[in-house]
Amino acid sequence: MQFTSESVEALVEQFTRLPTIGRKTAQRLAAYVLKMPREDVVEIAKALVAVKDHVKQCTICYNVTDADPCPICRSPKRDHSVVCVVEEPNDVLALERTGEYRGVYHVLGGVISPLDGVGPEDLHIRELVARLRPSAAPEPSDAPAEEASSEATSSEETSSEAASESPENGQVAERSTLYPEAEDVEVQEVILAVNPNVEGDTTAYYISQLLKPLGVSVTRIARGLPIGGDLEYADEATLSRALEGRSSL
Amino acid sequence: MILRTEAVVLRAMKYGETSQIATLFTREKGKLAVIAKGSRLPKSRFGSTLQPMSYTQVVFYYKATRGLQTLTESAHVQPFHNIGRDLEKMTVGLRAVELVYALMQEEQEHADVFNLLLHTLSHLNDATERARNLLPLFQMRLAALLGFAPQIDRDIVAALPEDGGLLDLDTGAVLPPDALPTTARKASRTALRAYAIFARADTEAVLRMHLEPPVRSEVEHLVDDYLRFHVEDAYPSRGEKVLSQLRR
Repeated sequence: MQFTSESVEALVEQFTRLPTIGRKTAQRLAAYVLKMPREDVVEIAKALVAVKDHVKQCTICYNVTDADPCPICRSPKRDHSVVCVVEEPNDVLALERTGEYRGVYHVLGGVISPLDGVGPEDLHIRELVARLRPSAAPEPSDAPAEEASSEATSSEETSSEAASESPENGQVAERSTLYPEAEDVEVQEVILAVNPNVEGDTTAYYISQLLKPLGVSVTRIARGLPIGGDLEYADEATLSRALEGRSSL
Repeated sequence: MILRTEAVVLRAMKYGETSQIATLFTREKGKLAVIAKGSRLPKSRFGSTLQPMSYTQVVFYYKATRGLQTLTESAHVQPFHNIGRDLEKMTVGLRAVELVYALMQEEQEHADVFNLLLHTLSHLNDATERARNLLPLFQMRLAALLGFAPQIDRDIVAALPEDGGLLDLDTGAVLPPDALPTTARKASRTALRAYAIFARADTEAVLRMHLEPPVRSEVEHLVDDYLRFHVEDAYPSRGEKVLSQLRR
């Protein structure tokens, strides 16, 4: 049944556009908004608009931020020689909550998923390589393997020209002056903190293949049993990974 | 009806805060979707069993009128550990499950396709080299099971001239270069011979076959084109696009 107010109905419609919100939940939320004090509703509305107006992507790590570079990338207290690669900005929050990690991040913006049609070119993988070794960044190309190899010579010829014209290089130079700690430290280790599933595995192996020739140490966070878990109820694949990732005491 | 059956997980997507909707290819009921409540919780009893390509035994309450069954139990029958340790194997396995997902109808039981998928994943898991050869082999066998087995004449393949021949996309037959079917496409002799091997040979022979990268690429395109010709828009292209990016 629809509400007798068109405004409430419009609000319900807008709530249903959010993920995991069905019509019934949207109706509950709309009814709650009706009961809220006006100033609280204004705060919510302001926060929603501010998110769109002020939040941008950090041009170094691709995390969401109000200022570019983000506070983590420009912090001199962070270890800029260790880069933790995560799927989404939420994963940065999860790792920051541990209080254990003092390095910096690189947000991929997703994960390689052939079944969903998400490939390496849809993620910030090229930017990761460029961040580690700017000269080793692969040229953007949509050509298939055979064509790409035949075009290798011409792209080499044009790469220096393209580099000098790129507006992003201007940004990098500017950042180097303002935040030298973010640019001058050579990355020694890349930690792959992707989810332990097929998509995460595909992404991890792909990135490690790309980074190995750069001489950077590539590690992956451990996979296995959750704390408080029970060996008896763990499935074979999880136990097998737990055994593989065992550490000496 | 409580149903206990073997299944291969074709895909899984997040649902809500902690659940997943998985599409399974089951031995008894074919392709169907199940909801696994709480499967994303760290201590979930489903563990890693709902990852694509997992070979599991599942239990759910089956109701014919329901589009989404509720999964109550899932356990590995045979974990394919090695697939998850090799990028090449993962891409081949994911493409195989994507093809089954796209080309099989909902709740269409097909034991032969189930066995073929299982056979492919099992060999993929065990393969020490040339795992990539298993994909064209899987595709050709799937084509045969879906009713359009390529008709290969061994003598014509053997007599192909050096400058190659034709592949008739309609019949899957290898033809001499002077044949004139409207649905043919030109290919090199090496690629057509490899194509004929994929269409007829057994898994062990295919795993022994060494292909140079250009020939491999040509054969893979031939097989893709042949399947696409028959299933048209149903042929999945997402994985194909990602696969080409991963192999660059």
